[in-house]
Amino acid sequence: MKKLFLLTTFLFACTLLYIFIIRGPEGTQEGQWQTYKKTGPQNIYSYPTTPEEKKEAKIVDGPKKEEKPLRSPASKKVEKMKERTSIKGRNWSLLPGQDLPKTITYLNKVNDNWKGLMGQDILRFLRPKTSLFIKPQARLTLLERDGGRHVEQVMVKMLSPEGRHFSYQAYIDSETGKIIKTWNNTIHEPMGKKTTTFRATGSIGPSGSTRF
Amino acid sequence: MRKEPNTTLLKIIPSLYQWYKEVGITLPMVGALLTIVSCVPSQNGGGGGAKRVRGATTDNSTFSVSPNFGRYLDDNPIALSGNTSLDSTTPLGKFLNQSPRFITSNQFLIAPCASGGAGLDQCLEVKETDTSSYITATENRWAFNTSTQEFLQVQTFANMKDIMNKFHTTLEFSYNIAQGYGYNSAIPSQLFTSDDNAYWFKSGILKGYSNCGVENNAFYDPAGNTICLGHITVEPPLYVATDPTVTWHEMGHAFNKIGMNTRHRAFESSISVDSNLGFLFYDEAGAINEGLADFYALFMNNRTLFADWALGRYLKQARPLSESESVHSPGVEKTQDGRLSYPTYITYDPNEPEKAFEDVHYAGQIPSHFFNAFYESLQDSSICGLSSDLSLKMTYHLIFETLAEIGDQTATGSGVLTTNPANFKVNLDPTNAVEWMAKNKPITFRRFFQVFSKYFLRTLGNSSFAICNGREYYLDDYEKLLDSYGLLLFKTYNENDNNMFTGHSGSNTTVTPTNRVKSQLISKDLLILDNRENATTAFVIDNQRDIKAAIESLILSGRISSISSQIDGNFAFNNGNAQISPGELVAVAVNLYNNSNSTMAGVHLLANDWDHVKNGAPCNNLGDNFPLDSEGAANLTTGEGAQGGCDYTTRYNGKNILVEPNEELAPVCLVELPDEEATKWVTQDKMRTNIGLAKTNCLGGDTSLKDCFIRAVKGADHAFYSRIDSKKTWAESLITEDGVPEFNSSNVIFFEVSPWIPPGTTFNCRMRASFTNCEDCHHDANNGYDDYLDFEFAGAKPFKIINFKFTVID
Repeated sequence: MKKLFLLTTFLFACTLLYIFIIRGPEGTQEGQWQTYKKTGPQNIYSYPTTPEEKKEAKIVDGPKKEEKPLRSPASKKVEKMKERTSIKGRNWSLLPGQDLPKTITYLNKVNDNWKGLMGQDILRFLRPKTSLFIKPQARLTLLERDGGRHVEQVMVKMLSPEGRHFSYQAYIDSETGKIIKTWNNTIHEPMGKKTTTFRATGSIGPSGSTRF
Repeated sequence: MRKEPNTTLLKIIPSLYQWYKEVGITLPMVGALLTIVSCVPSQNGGGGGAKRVRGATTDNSTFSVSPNFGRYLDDNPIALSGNTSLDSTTPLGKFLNQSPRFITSNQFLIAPCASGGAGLDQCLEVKETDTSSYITATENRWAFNTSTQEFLQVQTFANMKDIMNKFHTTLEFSYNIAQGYGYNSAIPSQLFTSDDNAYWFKSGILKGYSNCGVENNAFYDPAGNTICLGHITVEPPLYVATDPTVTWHEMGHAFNKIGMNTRHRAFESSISVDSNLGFLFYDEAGAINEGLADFYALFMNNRTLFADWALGRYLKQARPLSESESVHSPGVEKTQDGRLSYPTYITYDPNEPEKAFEDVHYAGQIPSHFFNAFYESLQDSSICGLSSDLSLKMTYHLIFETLAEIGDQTATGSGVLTTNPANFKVNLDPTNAVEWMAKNKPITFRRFFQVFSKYFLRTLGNSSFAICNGREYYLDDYEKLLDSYGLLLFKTYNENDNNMFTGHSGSNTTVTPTNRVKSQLISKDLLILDNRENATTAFVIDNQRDIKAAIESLILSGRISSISSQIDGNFAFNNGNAQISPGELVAVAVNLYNNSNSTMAGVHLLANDWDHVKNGAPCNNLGDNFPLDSEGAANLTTGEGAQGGCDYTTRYNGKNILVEPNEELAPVCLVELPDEEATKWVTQDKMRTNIGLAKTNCLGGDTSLKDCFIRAVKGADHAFYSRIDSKKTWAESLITEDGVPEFNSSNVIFFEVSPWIPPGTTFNCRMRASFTNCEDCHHDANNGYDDYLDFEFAGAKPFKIINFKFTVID
């Protein structure tokens, strides 16, 4: 009985240790939104997105997994590419015609703190009241010219200090947290004619530079 | 939908009356009987067959409709009333169709969809905002007062459902045309059977928000697959949802996304990056997207004025789709000379015609006007003589074909979906497809309408099919119509596509040269850096405030990849001296000059990596006389056409190490290195080793040595200019009041400048330029003016090389 009690306590402690250390203080699960805010030039903090923030940023919680929507019959089976793992926890994302080479070099490693790095990298150029929301969608490995690159596919939502909404999807380098590629950017229909324009600071010519 | 009166009842009333009189039933009793009969709802109208009547206000109360029914505006209030002065205080009840219509039998505003034998139980849903609860019907009825948010949701839902159903009907028609006639089609046979829902969205549901709170805005969010309708800031607010044309326009963007991703979704490939139609703040792909979206309004209401309520009433920004609309300037008319032609009207706002606006919405008017004109021509008995309905379907058939091909990431373009490289006919190959669409071979007016025309040729223009009432739509008629819009910008219909092996095989239908009257093709040699006396080579933006604002807008909109950690977050090194200094992030607008007698349009400048360096040295046989042999040019004596040689262009954009181990792309910027004998032009990595800089100090870190010192920010490494007038630069073509050029984010290229660059170092950034109405950017004179093959866009041939030389100043 005593041994059973000790064993149970030990296992419980191990579980707590796993959650805290391995998963990290963020403890966010894939598919959950994480908020990043900049309070000062060097201060960026993050936490799971609150319901109020979701409302403000117009974030909709979809199904927890990418469920196949209900569909009527009359489907013809098409042979699907089997998912192949690159390293534990992620799949190769191969394009039509791409085959895995016999030997693979990985161009980067996976950093569990990639979200934090990503948040810092994006927000460092933005004004303090900008909000950034990140939702992981998939863990992939892309086959590039020189090897495999681990990436995170994410959905990004941003709220400017003026309350303007932006959204896109992106591949993030799993080691550095840097954006590699973006797509599906929001298409706005601005109904005033205000567009952000920039005046030239000056010009460069054969006779030198001129400041306006 | 107009409902015919129930004439049967009218005929039998006199007979009934006679019978009632005989049996002693009084007239009031007959009247009561008839009233009861007329109140029985029919399946379609719910109103007992009453003729559609507007003008009388309906309070749209709950029990004025049958279960599952409701009322909504099927066009905007100005269109329904004919009153252009209508204001936002006007109760909208008087514009409702008094005959209720079926909304949904679901508990919430959720609709299924079906097409081609396939279907989904949940295709679209509507709420007020993304975090609102679903509304439910009152007593199973969806009738609400027009001043309520509930009404707005029903309105939005009904408009979205109506266009979705019509889209699917039209798509199914298109599929049947492609399958039935059996020509080489881009519409895949697996359109309705793919598990990835190629006829809708992979994720299934499209969400609409009837009052999402944004001011003077509406948007389509392709990442989350949502449509957000805001309000115009007047008092009381004008809710955008009360203008169905705007809802349909946003749905048009969603349908364009479906169209662009049709083939690889049908193929169930593991591609997770969607094809988009538009990549910069301004580019012609975005303009086409807007023009198509405007045309989706006409798709529903057959009117040639878009958003006259939501955009036109208070903001004066309604957009026409026909030269016959009164909002147009004098001179714009439905004649060969008066059409809204490219590039003359590329920056034209009919509401302010004296000013030039570089904006995708205004540029989109050219394609929208053409689509309408083409649709009208199909109804013209002297040209094709189809019914209005069939004409619209055939117009959309060509649009679906075009989008499916140009957005195809399987790179097969048309016909069978396969991974066989011998069938890669468009967008180079799956690995490079998105980059080809966005940068190297972008979707421009030329490309879109050439593909559109190819499918025209295969269907309406095919004499064997004789779709136009026993004959084909004559090619001359078509070319003249296209030319009247300045869009006859291609020399052949390119039926042999662009595969590296077969792209010049077979024959192509050539355009009749005499049909090209308005569409000007200009030699690329006439696009140069401004070399007039005292001319500017480039404009520079390097002051902190502007760079901060520019980068913020690019990051927020997700247009760029990450910036080097060597660039200070506050751009502390940006000193605003109008020069390029170490540690800066600068925006550069190279001052291109149009030395021709016609307007150049769709001018595109690329600063992405390309195939111009071999064995670590720059090739000097690319037409720009750079560099000299003595300045470190690559050895040209490698066997002709062999990999690694300057006369060989990579077939795989330098990304296939197995097949092309010696082929790699190189960044645009080379650096001048003083040598014992002479100065040499070398790669940045060579410079790095020469000065002994550690790899970790490169802009991209130790894994990115090729662009160690100067790097174009990915996503902002190409620039687009709507037009450059004859004998002018872009800045002179779109002049500001004080003459100082103003740029938007798509007019400049952003460069990161390493803080480790020794001041006084000279760089030459070897960029490539092209433009839409270019003669030799697209047509290969050595191959019968067939289009260049896709792989050639990794190299120099289709481009004019622009060398931008500058010295980094401390």
